[in-house]
Amino acid sequence: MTGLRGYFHPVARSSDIGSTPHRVELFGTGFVLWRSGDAELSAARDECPHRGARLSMGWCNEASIVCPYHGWEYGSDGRATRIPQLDPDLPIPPKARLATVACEESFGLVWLCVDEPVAPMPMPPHGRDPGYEWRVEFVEEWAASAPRVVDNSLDISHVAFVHQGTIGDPGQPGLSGFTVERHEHGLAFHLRYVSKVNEQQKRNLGIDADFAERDTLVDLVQPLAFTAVLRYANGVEHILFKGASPIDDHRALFWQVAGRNDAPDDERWASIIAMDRAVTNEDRPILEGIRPDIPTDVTSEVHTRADRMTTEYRRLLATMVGQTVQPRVP
Amino acid sequence: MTGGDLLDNGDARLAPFWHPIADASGPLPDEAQLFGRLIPTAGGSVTSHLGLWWFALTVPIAPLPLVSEDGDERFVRVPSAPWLWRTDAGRMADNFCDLGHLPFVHAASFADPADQHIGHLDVRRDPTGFTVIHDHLTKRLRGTGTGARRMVLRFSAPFSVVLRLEYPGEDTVITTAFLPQPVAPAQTVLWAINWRNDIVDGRCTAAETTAFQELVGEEDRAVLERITPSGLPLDAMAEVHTRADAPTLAIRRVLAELLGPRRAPVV
Repeated sequence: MTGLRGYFHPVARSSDIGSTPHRVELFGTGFVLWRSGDAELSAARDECPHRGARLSMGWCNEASIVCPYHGWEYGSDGRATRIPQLDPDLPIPPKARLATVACEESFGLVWLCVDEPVAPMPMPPHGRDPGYEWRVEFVEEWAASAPRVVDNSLDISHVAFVHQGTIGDPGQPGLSGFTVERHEHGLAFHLRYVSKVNEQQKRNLGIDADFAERDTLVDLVQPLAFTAVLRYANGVEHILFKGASPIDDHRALFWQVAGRNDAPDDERWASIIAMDRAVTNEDRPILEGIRPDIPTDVTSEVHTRADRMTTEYRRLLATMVGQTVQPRVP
Repeated sequence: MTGGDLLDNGDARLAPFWHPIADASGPLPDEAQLFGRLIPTAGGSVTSHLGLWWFALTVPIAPLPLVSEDGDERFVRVPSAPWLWRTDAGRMADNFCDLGHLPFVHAASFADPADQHIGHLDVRRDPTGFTVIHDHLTKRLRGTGTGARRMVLRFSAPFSVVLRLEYPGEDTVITTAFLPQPVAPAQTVLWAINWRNDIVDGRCTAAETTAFQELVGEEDRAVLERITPSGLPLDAMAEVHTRADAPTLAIRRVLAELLGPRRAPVV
């Protein structure tokens, strides 16, 4: 997943990071997050360059993070500011420096980029529009690979079957015609399909009918993050900003942020989030049962026209790992 | 801190050294659990020393660790039960030779958290180890407050560390041997033995000794088991060192000199 290291990935809720160091894992590597006295967020490899101890087991001292093993202190720029064993008048070795990584806070999440960023922080449609309100719905670890989680989210045809308990109806499996467009960091498609509207969804969306056509505009803004604008006939837009961060090759941090243009109150937000949780929980047993490696050789699986998004996703991932891309399915 | 020459418990270079393998109060085991496999003891060198069975796969190139208090009637030998740690033996030995961590990791047990500075250390090298003396403050063994303690630390390749801890204000000497057995990569059995001169006269008991050893060991284990990779870097350039790290830097140099370039793993 080397090609994915140049993107920002969520690793925690912003509210999880307080005055104590916090360990996260991304690409199989541990990182530590901490806030300095002025609440500025910093991130570095969770490893002291002195003897390798986990800094996340340490503590914060105003602007510094303190290693629990020998008490070495590091500032937010990663440079050591104090080595307690040394005479105070001796210079601190310049090599005593943490391997810091880029971190940002956006939409209630902490994002890390472990290599030189190749793309800016992703932004959902209407992300800065004051007419839309945003909530973090969940951030949780799944025993599935990150590309598998995203692949499932790009797969529309499973909705009628996997999500029968919430929004799917196996009697209406059809999708409208659509095209898939590739762009620099991802792909986009626009389609319509009929979703079931249960009583909870009727309250959440202000819809009376048992079924509603969803106009769905999906943009995979980067290989492991996408936005989906779900537009209903009554004008309500339910925007999902979601993705999966690769904890390692077998585990993902599945995150989802929702945006709404109909100003839900707290009670309705709770219902909206509960509904979205119920939908994703239907995916979980399927995804956690699939082998984590996603085939980037598109000839190794069977595809139909309805699979064009997920087929194109495989092509995109193939370019990320430097493989020769197979020809398009006719 | 990746790359370079990492010494782990599966390294073939550990073959020509003595390793503790069992309690010598029992019979010599038929097999030694070392380097990630079971090795018939009939095929190597075997001896009994400090109450333990020791085994070397090939002719040993370094002597067994010495403890002058063993056999001294003023001292009582108190072995702790063997203890499996999820780290490599080199990392464990490194920790037991590390002086700077005491006020941070062991503040709750014996160390004086305010005694952080480490003065000049005179590390006396020999071909298979080194000795260093460290004068510092620790909590008093009995009562409250802190007092002076002299540590005479002896490292013997590949992983044995013997600490003679002298408490001049309390007429007490505790000698602790940390004898790691490299059973498999990231798995080391710690054989810890204490010799104390305050048990004969009833100031301390064997049970108190082993309980305290376990308490202190837990403080180290919590840190060490979370260091990855758990092998010991022998390339001194792979880490940052200060003057206070002279003993742990000496471990790397002794082992690098004795072991030479990295070879294929035993396993």
